[in-house]
Amino acid sequence: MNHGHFLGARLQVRYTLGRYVTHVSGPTEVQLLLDIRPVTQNPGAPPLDLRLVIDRSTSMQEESCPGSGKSKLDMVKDAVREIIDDLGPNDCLSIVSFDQALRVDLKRTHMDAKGSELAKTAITSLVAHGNTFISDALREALSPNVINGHATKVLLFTDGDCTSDPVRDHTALVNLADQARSTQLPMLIYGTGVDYNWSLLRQLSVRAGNGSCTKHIMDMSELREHLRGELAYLRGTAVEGLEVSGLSQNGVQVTGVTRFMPDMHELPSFDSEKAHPYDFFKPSFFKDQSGALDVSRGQQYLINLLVEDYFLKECGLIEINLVGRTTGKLTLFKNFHEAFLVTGLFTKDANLASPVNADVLKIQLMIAAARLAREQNYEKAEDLYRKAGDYTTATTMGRLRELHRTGQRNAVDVARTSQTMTGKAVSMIYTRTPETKE
Amino acid sequence: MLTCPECHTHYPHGSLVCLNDGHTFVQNEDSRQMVQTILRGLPVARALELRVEHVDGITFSGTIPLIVIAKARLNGPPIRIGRRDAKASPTVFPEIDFHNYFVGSTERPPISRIHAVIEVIDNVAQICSASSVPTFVRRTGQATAFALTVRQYHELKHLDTIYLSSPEGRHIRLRVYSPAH
Repeated sequence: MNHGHFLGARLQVRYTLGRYVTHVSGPTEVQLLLDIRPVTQNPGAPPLDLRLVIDRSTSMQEESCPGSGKSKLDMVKDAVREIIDDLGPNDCLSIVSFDQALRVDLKRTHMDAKGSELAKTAITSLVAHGNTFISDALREALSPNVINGHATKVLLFTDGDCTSDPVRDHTALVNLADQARSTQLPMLIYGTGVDYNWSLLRQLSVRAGNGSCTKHIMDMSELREHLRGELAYLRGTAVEGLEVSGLSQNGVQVTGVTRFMPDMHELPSFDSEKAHPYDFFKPSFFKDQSGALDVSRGQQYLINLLVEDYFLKECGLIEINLVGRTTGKLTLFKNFHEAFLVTGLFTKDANLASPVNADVLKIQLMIAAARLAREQNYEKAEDLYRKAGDYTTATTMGRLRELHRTGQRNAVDVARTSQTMTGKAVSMIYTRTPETKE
Repeated sequence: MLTCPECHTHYPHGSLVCLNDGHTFVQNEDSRQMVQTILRGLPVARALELRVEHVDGITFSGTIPLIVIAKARLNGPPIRIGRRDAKASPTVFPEIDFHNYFVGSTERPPISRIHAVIEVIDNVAQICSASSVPTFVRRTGQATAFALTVRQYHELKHLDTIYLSSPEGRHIRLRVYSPAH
């Protein structure tokens, strides 16, 4: 009998430089693509602890998209029912719903036959009514202790901003994000429509860290597929609480760090005059609390470095540190701390420089495309995605450009969708289907 | 310095893409021919992991985080154990680097910049002392450790204990785990 999955996973780190040999002429930029991935035949499929927070305010009664005939709340209910069917008896589920007040519809319950019935009954009983007040419900979802060995995630579905007391709600949400970070409890936020506070929820997920993210869904009928994928990724969790940091060597500065999973996020630069963010970069250092790592997606970074012009032959660029713990029931040897030095080769002779790495160039183009899409320049973004070889996202950008131009959908809706799609585009390059074996 | 012809933003030499408009500074390069990727395997579990088939190499653990040497690397050039010293030897990067353990310490580090090397000779992993500061090895079951003289090779076996510097004083202790056991 193979107990490999109890003993921990193997972590593979692959790094690629923009050029294998870099021509140095004055301060020179070097790109480093880092791919961190658990490699295991059987990650052990940790039991899940899903905590659903569902908006049941009046606006959730509206049609999910024109002509669908189903309300947003109905779509959420359908997707959740399907998830309940996929959960096993060792998995746990809790449901909290909210309008201006919270209601605990299902306390944390194991999804055996009886638990599944209770969960479905709770979901069916949800009726859209009232205003929106998110923070109390989110606090309730975050409050139960994390069960050791469970892959835990809070899933929030909403379409509205707080209408009753926004100041108190927003302040509380910020505190709750800090709580989520300290307890290493990731949040996956799904927003739909144009009335919810996209910016606030994005900040919330960035602040919560540990793999939290916010996704905008134009058509709630897509939610089912989103959740199914998320469940598959969660089941492949092999490493928890991963923190990635880098210490640049003498003569090297970190000028930018972009994380790819679960969606693309450019780490902010450290500003000593402001309250500094948790995940940040500064010239000498970067740090990112990446959270759980699953075998399908792993974690990737593009790190931009600036090296001094005296670099010659092989030189150390940045020391990468990986701290985390493997999942599984065996507590012995769970924690790990690995460090390695990334070195690069440099030359003063331009003829000896290597051609640029195709993967690095592609990622750089996609980051530029994402920025253009964020500025609603969908046409240029489409071109760049095509240039990068991502024809799927290029087509999506073309469709969004048309929706934007013709006014078929609200511009805000289109903009949020584009951000979700561009965030997903880079991450999809590195996502393997959960069935793929190494 | 590079300048984007479209938005006139300046970028440092070596930049690939203008982030404002996606203009690429790379020209006439067939990047498909040169996809260089460096691989590195890091088992994250420790001793017990070695019983799982995919761990392939020699693993150290002890008073330091786990260090793993992949088999492919073991068969390559000698693996240097030491501490990086950016001032005295800026181009020396020991593969197993303990410089972090002495950062901020005013005391003289107990190990050399290149203290010892690990090498495979005749398909046998061996450690060789490379410094006048001694390296000690204690085989499991033996009561005492013996010192290697400079350039003396010693076969590494499962559960051997290596002391970088004298075990009586400040030292780093390593334990060898071989995947064959």
